[in-house]
Amino acid sequence: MTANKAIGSGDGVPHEHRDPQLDHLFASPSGGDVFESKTDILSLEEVREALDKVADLPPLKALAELFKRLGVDRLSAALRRALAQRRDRHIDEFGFDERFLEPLWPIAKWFHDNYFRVESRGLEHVPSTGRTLLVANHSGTLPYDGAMVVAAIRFQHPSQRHVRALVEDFIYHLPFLGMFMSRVGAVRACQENALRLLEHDHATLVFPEGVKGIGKLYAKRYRLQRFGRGGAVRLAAAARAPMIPVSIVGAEESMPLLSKVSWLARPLGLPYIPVTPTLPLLGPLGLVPLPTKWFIDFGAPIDLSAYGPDELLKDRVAINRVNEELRHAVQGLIDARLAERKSVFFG
Amino acid sequence: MVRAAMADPTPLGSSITRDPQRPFRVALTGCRTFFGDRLIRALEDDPRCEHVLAFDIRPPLSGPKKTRYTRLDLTDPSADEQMARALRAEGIDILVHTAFLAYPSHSRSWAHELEAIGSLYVMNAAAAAAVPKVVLTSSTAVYGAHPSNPNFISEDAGLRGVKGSRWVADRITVEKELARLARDCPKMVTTSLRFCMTVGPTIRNFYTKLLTPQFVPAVMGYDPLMQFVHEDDAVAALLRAVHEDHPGAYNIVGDGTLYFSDVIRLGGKISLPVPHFLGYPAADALFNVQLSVVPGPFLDYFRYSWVADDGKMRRKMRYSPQYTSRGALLAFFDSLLPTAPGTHGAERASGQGELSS
Repeated sequence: MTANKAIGSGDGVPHEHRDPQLDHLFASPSGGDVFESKTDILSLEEVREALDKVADLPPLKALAELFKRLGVDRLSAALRRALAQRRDRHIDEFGFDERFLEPLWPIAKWFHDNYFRVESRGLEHVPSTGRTLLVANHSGTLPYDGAMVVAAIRFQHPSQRHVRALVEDFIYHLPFLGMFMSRVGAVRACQENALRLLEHDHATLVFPEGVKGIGKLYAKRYRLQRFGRGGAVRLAAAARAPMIPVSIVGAEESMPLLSKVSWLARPLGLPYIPVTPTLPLLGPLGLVPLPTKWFIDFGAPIDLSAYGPDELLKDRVAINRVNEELRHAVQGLIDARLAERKSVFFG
Repeated sequence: MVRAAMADPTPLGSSITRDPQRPFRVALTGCRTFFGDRLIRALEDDPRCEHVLAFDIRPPLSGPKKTRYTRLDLTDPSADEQMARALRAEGIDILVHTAFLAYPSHSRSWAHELEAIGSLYVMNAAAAAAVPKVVLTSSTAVYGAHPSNPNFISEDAGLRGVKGSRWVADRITVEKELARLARDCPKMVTTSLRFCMTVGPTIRNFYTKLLTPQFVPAVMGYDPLMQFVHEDDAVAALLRAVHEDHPGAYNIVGDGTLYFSDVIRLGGKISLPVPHFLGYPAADALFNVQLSVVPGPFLDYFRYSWVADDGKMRRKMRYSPQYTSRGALLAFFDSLLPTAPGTHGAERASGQGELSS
């Protein structure tokens, strides 16, 4: 009965004079009727009615009767749909899942407050809204530095804004790691993604040194590597975003990289296999960083107003000049902190 | 926000050169495919369309008034000559090439003859008959699924495909042939519509077949973002490319992305995660004995992201789909649910056109 009603309702043809037996012939193949009939799958009244009817029967018999009345496939479909909707999840277009990250914040906070005891300076340089490009030095063998910059803004900046970090491609070659990173809001590092993030007015964190920075040996600590090919500057110019130098001091010593094994890394899809005082000696325990004291400092935005934005994009030499300026700004922040620091573990 | 920031410099409708009131004649290959069939239905009701010339190896399912059917086998070596003759005789304005397989065929060499070589014949015929416009139905699968893809692939990205897949390689060949045609015939308008996973109540293709069973295989440890376009939106975009001139390639994709695990969840399906080192050989073995529709290399599409950018479609074609990715997917999954008795028959009747030519 109800089924026929549903079919007739969507096809826009008057159906009073139609033989109900022939109704299916009039159903439009892709019209709304098939879609709308989902409400007809199993109505609440129908379920109540069926439950009333079987109320007096013994349990097993009642269940069998219920299935018979409502139909096995309709019941299972209703169950599937209910399950699907209960587990429904909303993500942003890059796959960031707020509900996935929610229970992880306390862990990040503990690392930020109690483990690394992150101290920051210059947070006032980070705008509370709008597109912002944060440019940081990369160090510490494993990318804990990115997580701590995100945590520092979240727990110390009045806006508590969520910084989107760009991460190296190889993460997405590896099982589980890529899944995890995109759910917590990280995005694969490339110009297209970064530009899109900035155009959506996100605070975006980049590490222009890339693998060269995070994978430099302990002997070269706090010496900035080449800042890519000026991609960060080009991004800031294209998106007209303020470019803020960020220094991270303390990460280098949290996991001092003594040596790198490359021959084994390639078949595993990794850029290198790190050798630290604890890795691979202590196995998975070696992934835990040392509790060094961290300083994350934010510098004044690099002023690009001397160049017209499009003018800068066309001038490759100028891009490189600004890129060097940016590198010096980050290095300056690092050097200032290192000069003040008395102890690696106590600051 | 982005859309405002990247506002297109060209004014509204600047790419439309055709007089909107001028009647036109359409030829289409693969009239039994989903797109062929739906296009005929739409053009039959279109007062500006004078008539439709339908090529296939089987007659069209509908099209009583304006459609003329010409039997043509694209694997026939003289297909280009036959086609050019018919195109010239009918004075065709627009050629829509939709004769593609909805699944990677188990008969690989035949599929290659049909899709790659057959398309070559179609383009040759279009050049010989000097058809003013050629529209191709392509797929965003031509970009390939790679961990190094940007999250939103734009139309000018390289067509990398996936390693070892003949089906995708053939579709890339077709795209290249179209680009060559555009170079050789500068006056011709050539449009390639790259649809992402097209789903809906009636279309049946590789993706719908994969998402129909209760168990859906997945690659363990990988959960790529995916996007979908509703079949009605896909047809509407194709019609827009017929009515207006939009030279170049366009991604036709729904708004938003979903994780593959959420896709499976939304359908109330159960995911079967397989480690990738077992998955590829297993998929190949099952495909070779014709037990599955997923050839090994296709696992890449369920492992890495290949989401395409909709910016050009929205700005230049000024087309925005009615359904989001999620809406399109739900419409498809709802069509799978047991509905009232009788509607299944109606669904099947129009669900034909799985295979073309």
